[in-house]
Amino acid sequence: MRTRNLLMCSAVLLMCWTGIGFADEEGAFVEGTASVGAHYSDFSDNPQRVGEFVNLDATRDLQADMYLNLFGGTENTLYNINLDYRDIATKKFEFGVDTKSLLSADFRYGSFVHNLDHDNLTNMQGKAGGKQVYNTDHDPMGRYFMEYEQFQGDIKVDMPFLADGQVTLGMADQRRSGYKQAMTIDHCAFCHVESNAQRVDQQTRIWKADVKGSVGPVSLNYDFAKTDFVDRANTPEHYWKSARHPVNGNPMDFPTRQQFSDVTLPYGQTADNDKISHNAGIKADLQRLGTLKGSYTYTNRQNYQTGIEGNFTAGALGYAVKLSPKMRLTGKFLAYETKVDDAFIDLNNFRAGDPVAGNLDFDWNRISSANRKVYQGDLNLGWKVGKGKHLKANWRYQIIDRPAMAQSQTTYIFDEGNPGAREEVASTAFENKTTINRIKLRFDSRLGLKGNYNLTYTFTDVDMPYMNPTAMCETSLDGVDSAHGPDGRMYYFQRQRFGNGTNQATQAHKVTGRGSYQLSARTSINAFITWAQDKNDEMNIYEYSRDLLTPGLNLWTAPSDNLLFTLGWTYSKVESNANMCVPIFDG
Amino acid sequence: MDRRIFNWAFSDNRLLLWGLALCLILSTGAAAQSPADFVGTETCLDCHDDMAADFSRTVHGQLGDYQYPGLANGCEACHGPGAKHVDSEDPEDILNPTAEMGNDGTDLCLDCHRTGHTLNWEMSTHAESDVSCLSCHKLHDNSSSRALLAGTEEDVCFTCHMDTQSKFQLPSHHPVREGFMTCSSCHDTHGNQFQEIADGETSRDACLVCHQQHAGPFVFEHSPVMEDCTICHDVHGSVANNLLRQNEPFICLQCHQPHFHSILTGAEGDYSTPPGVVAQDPNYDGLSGTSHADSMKRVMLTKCTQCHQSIHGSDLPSQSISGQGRALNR
Amino acid sequence: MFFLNVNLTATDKLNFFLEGVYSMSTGSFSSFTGLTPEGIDPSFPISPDNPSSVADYDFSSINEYSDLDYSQLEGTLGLNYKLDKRATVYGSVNLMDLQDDQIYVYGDLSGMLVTYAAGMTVGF
Repeated sequence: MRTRNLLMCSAVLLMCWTGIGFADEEGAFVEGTASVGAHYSDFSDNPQRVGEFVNLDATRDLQADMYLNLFGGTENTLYNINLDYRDIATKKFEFGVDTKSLLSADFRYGSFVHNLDHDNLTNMQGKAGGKQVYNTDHDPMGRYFMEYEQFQGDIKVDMPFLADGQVTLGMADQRRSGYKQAMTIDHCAFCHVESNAQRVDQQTRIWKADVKGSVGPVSLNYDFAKTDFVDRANTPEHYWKSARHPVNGNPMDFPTRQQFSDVTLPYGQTADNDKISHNAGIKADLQRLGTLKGSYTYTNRQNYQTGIEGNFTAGALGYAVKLSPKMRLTGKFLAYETKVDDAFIDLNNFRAGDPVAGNLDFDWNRISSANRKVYQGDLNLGWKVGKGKHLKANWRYQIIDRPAMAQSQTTYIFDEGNPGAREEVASTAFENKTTINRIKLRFDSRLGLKGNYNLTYTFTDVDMPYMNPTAMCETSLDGVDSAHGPDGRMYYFQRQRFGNGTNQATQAHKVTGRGSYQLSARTSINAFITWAQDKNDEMNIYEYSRDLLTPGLNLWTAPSDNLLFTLGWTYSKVESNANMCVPIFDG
Repeated sequence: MDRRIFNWAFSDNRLLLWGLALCLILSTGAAAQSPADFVGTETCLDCHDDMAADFSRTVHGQLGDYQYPGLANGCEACHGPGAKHVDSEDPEDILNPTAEMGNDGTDLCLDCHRTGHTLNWEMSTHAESDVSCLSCHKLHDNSSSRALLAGTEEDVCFTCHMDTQSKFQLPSHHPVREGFMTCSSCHDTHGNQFQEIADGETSRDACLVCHQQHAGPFVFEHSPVMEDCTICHDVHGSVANNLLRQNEPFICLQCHQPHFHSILTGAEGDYSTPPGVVAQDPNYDGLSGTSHADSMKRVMLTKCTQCHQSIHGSDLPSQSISGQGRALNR
Repeated sequence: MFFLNVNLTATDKLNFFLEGVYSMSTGSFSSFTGLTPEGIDPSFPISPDNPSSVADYDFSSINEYSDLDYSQLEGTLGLNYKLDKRATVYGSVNLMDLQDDQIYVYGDLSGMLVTYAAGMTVGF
């Protein structure tokens, strides 16, 4: 905070210096507009959603408005000052200065309020047999909101000895503060969902340094960024009541079936983290032979709470060339790897102390689903097929190779004839490699001197898109639960599932079109349409589909010099079809 | 490759020849111009006086001499040597980059704007779609925008991306129409080596710039969060709250099955925790509710994140051992 | 979604403007039917503790729990009056109205917000 205030003060001082210092210089100019006014807002019924980005604390009260858009300079310097003040939490300020000699600086500050909804939890009640669900909202009248604040400053220093040479030092400071609704649940007791107000005081600070320049035909760019994220608010805590039989309420041995019970613990914890990134790029202008570009990126992110780290390493190559005055070819290749530390999950033994039906060890090793190697190639051909007519074709081929598509998990398979048996099937055992082929064709054309249109068709074919493997639909067991007796382990374990679930397509078609035409000197029309059809018919239990249609029409007309109309209409429909598997009751 | 050919091509002497050949190719791009061909900006403005005040107030009008790559600065940096045009006053004798160079003269812009934001331009989606610099920037008569944008950022982007503009009118949207975000908050219009979006190695990283609380890396993950935020979120706007592509529980049920409790027939009437349970544990005291036949369905099939609130990942194990702590309840 | 912008320059000094957007948006789900798991007898008691309790495989109404139906109107009516070459006074009324016709877990979100604004702009 101290750094941000220091930079804000520097910005204001710099602003004063430029304004005062330049006022008397020869050739000095200043132009712009300034507004001063007031506004008063009132609401009826529920203002939270309709005024989602309105500071409701400033309603029903007269508020001052200030707006300034100022642009000025001298022969050697330009500066701009922009201010938009609506209320204490809704404001924007920008200041920039650019000197002919060496230095330019930009400072931006903005804040706004985002009102959040309050889930009243009233659906969370019901009783079926001995199973009971309750809800308690400990803050029933709570109004939740988040105030966003961001300060950003960049100082650029030119390096005259280097073409396009520049060093940039930048800093950004983001704040999210307010209250949100935090909920958690007691279960394997009477199911009890409780809600509280959770204070949020999050700060993200980003430090950046960029160096760029060109030597002859070669351009270089390197940037470094360090991001620190902390939440200074206290983590909420919850008392988990003693676990007991969810039907009859008896304590029995239920606490041994839970990781914790009869204890106060934190929940809704935010993971403080930091990220460091290095990015280096080089581009060679090979004149008639085209442009060649390469880059290397490395980032590291660490979760402070757990020490878990993730690394991202990438290399990219690109080549663009004009094959002829009418034809342009671009080729790109990208490869990257994401690797996140494994995490060993050490759990209490299930029904510890029960040598017959329990004492099971559920420890597991979490292999991150972020882990992957990605290889992607793009070829793009642009061809001027006639006067004002362009055709583009793009082909993308991508391979995403993961050790585990979903977070590694263990599915417990039960043998009906042998209730004590179980088999662990890790999600790493499934095929986790996605291959994507995408073809895109685009045609642009002028309609004489009065209009233009374009049409794009995209077809994507995906082998093994992202999915949740064996996520749904269970194998049927005769007699449901009675065959296994009251202590059958099947009550408490995930039954063998076999159905994959996803909302990602194996085949996707998309057509987009846009056109504009000037009907007369006073009337013009714009139209657009998007049509898409996605389907996945390669899953083992159902076919997923998604259809989208979005047409739109805009009309601009000026019936007279004094009157101007703009009218628009947009319609959008998205329809998805998926499968829902009803589970078998087993507990 | 035949080893003899390889040896021939890459022997010490011939490497030098390859280098010289490359230099020759690179040098052929520069047109032969002499200082005498240039007249200077002041001369241009003698006739084009309508540009005079305005041009000096733009970033281009303020550049230092060293910032121009060629022999000239000012007008002639883009329009070429003006001596012939000054003599003849014929528009044909001066370069009009928009009309005479490909793609509205974008290549000319790239002579100076080679690196930094434009390092990736040639390989960007915009470049591949024939979007030129002048599609979004206005160089003359535009002294009020230091970035020389042809309008507000939204005006410029929504000229082509009209369907996206309409999505910002949906009940759940990022605050672009309210003016608190702009397209460039997420998108790098000049090209990013990885995606069509800014500040990210993956699309996920672009979201994390403002939503760091979901960055992790977490012990207990929700795998689509690690894959791609757009599996669940329609980032420009949606009907469902929190930019969800469909409302809960249906967005969830595409990849998961509901809990088995959802098939239970609910009792009718009011209920409360049994006295025997309260006697054993007073923390259960005072809990009550009203139940209907479909109450358990309402509990289980209305909004999954009422219980699975840490849906973006957590470092804290959930309560159930048999669920291996993965339920994202904490 | 419909939008309408009107700009009327009534006199050299007086200008009126109207901006309005009206949108209707729904999110709904079809009924679920025929979802009894294969091989399961729906009339079979599902709890040894409560033999009379049978499964309810009728999911035909669950779409009602989370259907969404909103209509929104946002409009601004305003005027600018030029006092002289540089100074203009302005006034506007902005109305934001949302109707929530399918209540979800957040209760009835219907609401209206009206903002009146007035002031003076100086160009320099």
